Amino acid sequence: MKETSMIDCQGRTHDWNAEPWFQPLCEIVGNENIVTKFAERMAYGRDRWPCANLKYRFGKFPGPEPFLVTVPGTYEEVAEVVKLANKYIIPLVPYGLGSGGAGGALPAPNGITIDLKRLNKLLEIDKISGLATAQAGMNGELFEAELNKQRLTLGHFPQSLTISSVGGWLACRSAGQASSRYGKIEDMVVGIKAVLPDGRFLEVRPVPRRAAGPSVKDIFVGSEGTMGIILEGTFRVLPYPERESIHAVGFKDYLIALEALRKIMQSELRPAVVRLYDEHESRAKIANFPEYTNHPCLCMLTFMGLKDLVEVEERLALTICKELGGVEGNPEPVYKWMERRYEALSHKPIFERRMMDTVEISAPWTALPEIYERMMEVVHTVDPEADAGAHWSHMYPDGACMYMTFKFSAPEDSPTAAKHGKIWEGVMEVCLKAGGSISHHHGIGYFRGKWLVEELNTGHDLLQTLKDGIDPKNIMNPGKLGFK
Amino acid sequence: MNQTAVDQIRFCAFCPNLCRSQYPRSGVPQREYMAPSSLSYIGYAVLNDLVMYNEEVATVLTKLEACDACKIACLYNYDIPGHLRALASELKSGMVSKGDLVTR
Repeated sequence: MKETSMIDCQGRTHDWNAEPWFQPLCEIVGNENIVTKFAERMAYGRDRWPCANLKYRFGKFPGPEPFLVTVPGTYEEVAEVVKLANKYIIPLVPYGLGSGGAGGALPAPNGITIDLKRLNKLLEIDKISGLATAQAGMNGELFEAELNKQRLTLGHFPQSLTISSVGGWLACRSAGQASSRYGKIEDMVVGIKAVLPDGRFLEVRPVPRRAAGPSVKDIFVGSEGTMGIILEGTFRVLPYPERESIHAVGFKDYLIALEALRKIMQSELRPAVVRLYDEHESRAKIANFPEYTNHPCLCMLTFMGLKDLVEVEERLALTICKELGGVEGNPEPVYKWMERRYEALSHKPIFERRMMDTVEISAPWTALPEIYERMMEVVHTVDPEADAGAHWSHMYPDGACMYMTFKFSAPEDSPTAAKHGKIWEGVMEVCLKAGGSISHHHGIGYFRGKWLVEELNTGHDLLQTLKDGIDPKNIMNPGKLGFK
Repeated sequence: MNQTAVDQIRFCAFCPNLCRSQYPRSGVPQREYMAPSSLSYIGYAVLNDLVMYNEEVATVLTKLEACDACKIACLYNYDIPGHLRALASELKSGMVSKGDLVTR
């Protein structure tokens, strides 16, 4: 994707009225909901992809300039905008709160970005069935807060809770910090409404389960705006947990800790938060707690739910930890993490002129150690001075997510981008060769497209065929998810 | 503008708007360009000569309703709307321009 200089873009003028679609667009959404000024369009040129912010630091758009933005206020307006775009073959990019980490919301060349923030209402809570319906542009934190008022919870707590939208969760197939208990977003959503690339409405009615052909809902969950625009989701919600218990366990090394976590998950226990840190990431967390000195890999475990159930699950899980040499210590590191669990940290390195990025993959238990060791090797081969560490979370009976963070000095644009690219090439190769998935929950966006093609192989051809069928003019977020 | 204010604007420019849940609560029109980090980025970009200061930029820098609403939720207790008002005023009066303060 070719980057463009902001100042050059700013210097260009454009006669919007010369576009045959411009007046019809104004009539659909109203003049006040069209964004043409350059200084306003700039906001839509990035998401949280670190490369995008690196480019912004140097005054460049990481891809095309945001051409025009519209902010529809109703589902009908969204559908009419899509029909118009279809007629004139204008690319469309849905934009929620811009918290994606892989460039999925970057503008398309000469395209329209659709800002969905006006569609931000909680529509309904059905307490009997345990269902809640929210519009795509609703802020995640506010959605959860509304549920909490009714003593309910979605159980979905991504680090980006305060800066992400319900639609973004669905489009990106997100996972929250308590996913080992509550599941991921695809486990929670039971119905959706969307607009197809030809402007037709789609509704997947919310039912507990169906054996009515392949899942239409799942065409959209994880589609990152390439198959249509998600308007709302209906989710399973649960009673607010009666009790939450918090534990910190130190292990001698990450291998034995992974073994303990495997046994916990295969015992069908469901801890809410499970986070195992390697020695590097544990260090600062346990520095003031001598009980962890000989057990330098910190594991955070929380349990949530009915009081009696929590007591049983924590007792059984901690027994497993102890049997494998785990030492339960002061839970203060967990409390400290919880205080800032929703604080995204990506802006601090930019401020410090450093590049920071994260690589989150998933793999079976047998593959995780090799992936960890070899990914760390890649980072330190490319940059021996790099700061790199990892933790494991989002546990399953058959495996887990590994989340690696690396940072290095980034005084200049091009060398930083080159080094960043080299690290990614290396770690993705490690993951794919070991049989892992290149993304557990951050999604693909623009950046990971080529590796997605490799991971899914014929499966990607299948998705491309589907995309070609429902979006023959390729207007929906073109170039993302590795699509043509 | 003092260096602290400039640094805080730069920090905010790259922050993912951790304060942004206040934005819809405030009832202010929902536009990404009104989010604090979008406005801070414009300030940062002008100070670093990455974007020209012109009438359009000057106008956008006055749209601080969402920024005011989000100030209460800033994790770092910054007064970003205050800094942006000061910057807008200084830019308008020519008191500060590119290169005056190291920001990059």
